[in-house]
Formats: sequence, C-alpha cells, structure tokens
Amino acid sequence: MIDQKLSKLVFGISLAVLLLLSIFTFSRLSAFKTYTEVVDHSNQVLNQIVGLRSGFKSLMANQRSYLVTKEPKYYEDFQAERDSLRSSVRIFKRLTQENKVQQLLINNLETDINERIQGLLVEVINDTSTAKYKFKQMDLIERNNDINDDFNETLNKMHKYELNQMHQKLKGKKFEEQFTPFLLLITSLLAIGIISYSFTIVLAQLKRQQQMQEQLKENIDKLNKSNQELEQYAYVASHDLQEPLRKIRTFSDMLVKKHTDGLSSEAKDIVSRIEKSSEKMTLLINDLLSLSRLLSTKKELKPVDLDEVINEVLHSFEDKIITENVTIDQVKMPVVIGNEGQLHQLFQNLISNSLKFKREGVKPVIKFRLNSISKWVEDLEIKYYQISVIDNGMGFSNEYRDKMFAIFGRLEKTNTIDGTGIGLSICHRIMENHNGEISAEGIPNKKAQFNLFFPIPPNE
Amino acid sequence: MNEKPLLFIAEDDADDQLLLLSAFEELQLNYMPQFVENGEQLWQKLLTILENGNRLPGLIMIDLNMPLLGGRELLQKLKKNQNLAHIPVLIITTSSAPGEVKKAYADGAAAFITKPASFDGLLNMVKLIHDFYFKLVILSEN
Repeated sequence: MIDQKLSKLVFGISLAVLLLLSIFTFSRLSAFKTYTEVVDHSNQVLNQIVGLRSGFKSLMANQRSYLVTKEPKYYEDFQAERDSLRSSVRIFKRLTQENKVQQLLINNLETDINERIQGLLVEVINDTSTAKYKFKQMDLIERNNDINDDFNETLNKMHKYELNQMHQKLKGKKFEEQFTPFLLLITSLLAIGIISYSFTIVLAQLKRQQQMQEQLKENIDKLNKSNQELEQYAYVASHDLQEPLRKIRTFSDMLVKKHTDGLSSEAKDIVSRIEKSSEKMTLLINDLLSLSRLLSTKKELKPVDLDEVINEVLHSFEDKIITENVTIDQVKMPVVIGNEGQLHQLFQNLISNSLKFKREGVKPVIKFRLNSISKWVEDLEIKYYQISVIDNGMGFSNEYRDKMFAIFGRLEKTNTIDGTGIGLSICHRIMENHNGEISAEGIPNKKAQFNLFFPIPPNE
Repeated sequence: MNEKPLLFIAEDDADDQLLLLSAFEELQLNYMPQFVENGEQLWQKLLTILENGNRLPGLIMIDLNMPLLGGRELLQKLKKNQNLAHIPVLIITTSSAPGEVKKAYADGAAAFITKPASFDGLLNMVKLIHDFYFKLVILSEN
C-alpha cells in the first residue's frame, strides 16, 4: 500500500514536471515574440524620428531655394514637404499613443514645427510683400534659431528616450537568451530523472509482487502437501487404531464365547462393558475417517436430484420409520450441483439425528421444506435454495447452535443416545464443499430445524 | 479329494495368527493353516516347493500390510509366475483405503475381505472360506 502511494506520488510529480516544462517552453517562446515586437516597434519609432529630422531640414532647404530662385516648383516642394512632415507627426503620434512621455514630446515638437512653418511663411511673405521688411530680418532669424534649437533638442530627447525604452524592455532578453536553454535542459533532466525513478519503483513493485506470488504458490504447494499428509494420516490412523481395537473386540468376544462356563456374571459384565466401549470407539474412528476424507477428496461435481437422495436415505431408515410410526412430510426438492455420495451422507446424518433425538411419548414428525433466498456479497446477488429439515424432537437452545457444528460438539451428553458427535461437523464440511452453508435453529423440547443453503445453478 | 486341504496364510501379526488358529480349532476342521510372517517368507516357501516338486497349497490368504514383501507386491509376483498364478489369493486386511479393493481385484485377487471385529464374525468367515474353497469348488492341485 505504501509502495502504491509512493509510485502514485512519483508519477504525479513527473506529470507536474512535464506540465511545468511545457508551460515554461511556451512562455519562453511568447517572450521571444514579445521581444521581437518591442524591437520592431522601437525601430519604427526611431525611423519616424529620423524622417522628422530630415523632413524638417528639407522643409527649410526648399524654402531657401524658393527664396533664392523664386521658382514656383520649390514652393510646391516646400508645401509637399510641409504636408509630409505633418503626416509624419500624425504617424508618430499614433505609434506612441500609449506612451505619455513621447506624446508630450511630439506635441512640443508639433508646436515647434507649426511655429517654424509659420516662420518660414513669414519669410516668404516678407520677401514677396510690397511692404518690404515688415519684420526685422535679424528678429526673424533669432526667433527661427530658437525654434530650430528647441526642435532639435526635443527630437534628440525623443530619440534618446525611445532608445532607452527599448533597452529597458530588452534588459531581460539577454539574460534569458543565455539562461533559457540551460533551464530547459535542467528541467528536462529533472523530468527524465523522476520518470526513471518512478519506473524503477514500479519495476521493484512488480518484482515484489512476483515474489509474493511465488511465495503464495509455495505456500499453496505446502498446504496441498500437508493436506495430502493429513489424508495419509487419516488412513494410517484409521488403520492403525482399528487394528488393536478389532483385536480387543475379538478377544473379549472370544473370552465370552469360549469360556462362558468359567466366567462369573461380574466378569461377563466387565467384558461386555469392554465390548461396548470398543464398539463405540470403532464408530468414532470411522466417523473421523470419513470427516478427514471429506477434507481431501476432490470428486467431480455433477447434477444431483435431491429427491432421489432423500428417498434413498429414507428407504434405508424404513424399518425404524415404520416401527416408531414416524410421519414424513416431503416436498419436491430441486437438482443441485454436487457430490452424490456426500449429499447422501448429509441427509443420512440429518435424518438419523432427527430419529435419534426424538421426544419420549411424542409421535415423531420429520418435515422437509424448500425456499429460495438471496444473499448479497457486496454488489453481487447470490441465490440459494434453502432446504430445511425440521423435527418435533428434543430440540435445543439457540445459544448452543454454533457449537453443534464444531467437531465433537455434541449437546446431549447422555449415554442413552448413540453417536459420536461428529455427524454435524461432517454436514458442515459437506456444505462447505458445495459452496453452501448450514444453519440451525431450535426450541428446547419442541423442534430442531436445520437449514441447508445450496447455491442455485446460474442457468435456472 | 482325499488329501487334507493345504492352506497358506501370510500374516505378520501374532495376535491375528492366534485368532485364526483358534477359529480353525473351534470349527473342528481336520486341518490347520500354515502361517508365514511376511510376503518374502511365503515367496521363498513357494519357490522351495516348486524346486523340490512338493505339493502346492490349494489357497493362499495374505494380509496387505506386512514387512519386507507387502501383500500388494506379493499378489503381483504370484500372478506373474506361471507356476503359481492358478492359486486363488484372498486378501485379508483391517481396513481399505479408497481404490484399494479395485486394485486388488485388478491384480488378480480372488476375494477381498476385511477382518471381522468379533469372534463370531471370524468363525463365520473361516467357515465360509472353508465351505466354498474346500467343499464347493475344485482347486487345481498342481
């Protein structure tokens, strides 16, 4: 369980690392794209600054050419240059619309340009006007120089500012360009390491599981072997115990038969007690033997008609049933999958118990009943036949009912009733062999009921 | 049949030998069985008889569980020997494991008998065997 948790954790971590790696790679790629955009944008802005500078100069050059030559072509050029300069300003404004500093500077610059254009026009008017030298030439030149200086200063500021902006935005770029491959490598190595680690964990787990399976197989083999030994033990025990017992019985029998005249009645009584005890021990050994055979035999299962089995058993008790005037109340019984010999033994034991534990002075009745019931094992419904054998004999108190199925767990410890006390444990074992169960319920001096639960074959 | 019946019994247990002898005495039969302690002794005894050309037993009774040569192996050896295979072999044992009976008959046993648990039963058994083999059926004498 701990191993499973650990491997789950490690797999989780490796997944997380892989996810991190993808996110990281993606964000790096996006960052590079952003950097490219930043550089593009700044280049555009810088180009515009260069254009503004050269446009401003061309504007003045065209005006001078016109003033000197009076060619209308230069005046037209001047006007075209003026429009282009204004359009450059608009473009610049649009490019830097998100930057307040540049907006402020371009506004200043626009004022300068407008004033300068005005100044240039004034010069033209001055030159062509009938009111010659309306303004003092020196005043005009001084004023224009101020504007030019202001224009250049503003433009330089813009240029410097833009360069600064770009450098600031690209500050992280160089570091990341150097660091990103290294980081990617580290992360990938980490992922590989963790995945390899989880792989070894899974391998180790598989190996351990395999070992456990082998261990289990070994244990099963051992168990089978000890079962076989038990079987042999049962045979040896039965044979070796029976041998001296048989001799005790035969010799005591022989003593009575051959020396009947020489024995006192007390001696005869003693010998007969020896015989009785040995007889009982023979029964005990035989029952033990049949119980141990039930543990080990794996006989083939086949459909068995319980009606036939019950009728055969009842037939074998026919004499007793007639002499004791027993009422038998039968119902139709189903066919179950099982071992015929064992089922025979099962009903033999139950019916013989009912006949044995009858009540004095009460006419014995043995009833057979059949029901269908369902038991739930988690989500699985298992259907059972419930076969009940009910008698009106001595009964028993329900507090003892679990003891009855234990070996030698006999309730009635009287010598008036024959039996070894193994019968019900044999029944219990037989029901286990049939994947079924046995239960008991009783009322003292009224009834004993034994319920047999046989799984219903699936095709019915 | 003028000669007395000749019966060999392989039985390692002294008590069982005594019991069988008592039964023969009690029934007042005019012969006694010859006992050997195990299969090996019986086998040697039979080989000696064959060598000397003496009289072979009309019937053999063997216990299954004996030291040296056990009853199962002895039965197989007897049935494989062409000079001995004709002699009926009765298996006498205390109890039988499942499959034992079938195997014994398949190996050529004439009968499989569990030892009776009472003296009356034993007497009955000996009487039945005597009446069947030495009164009713004809046994080959050589």
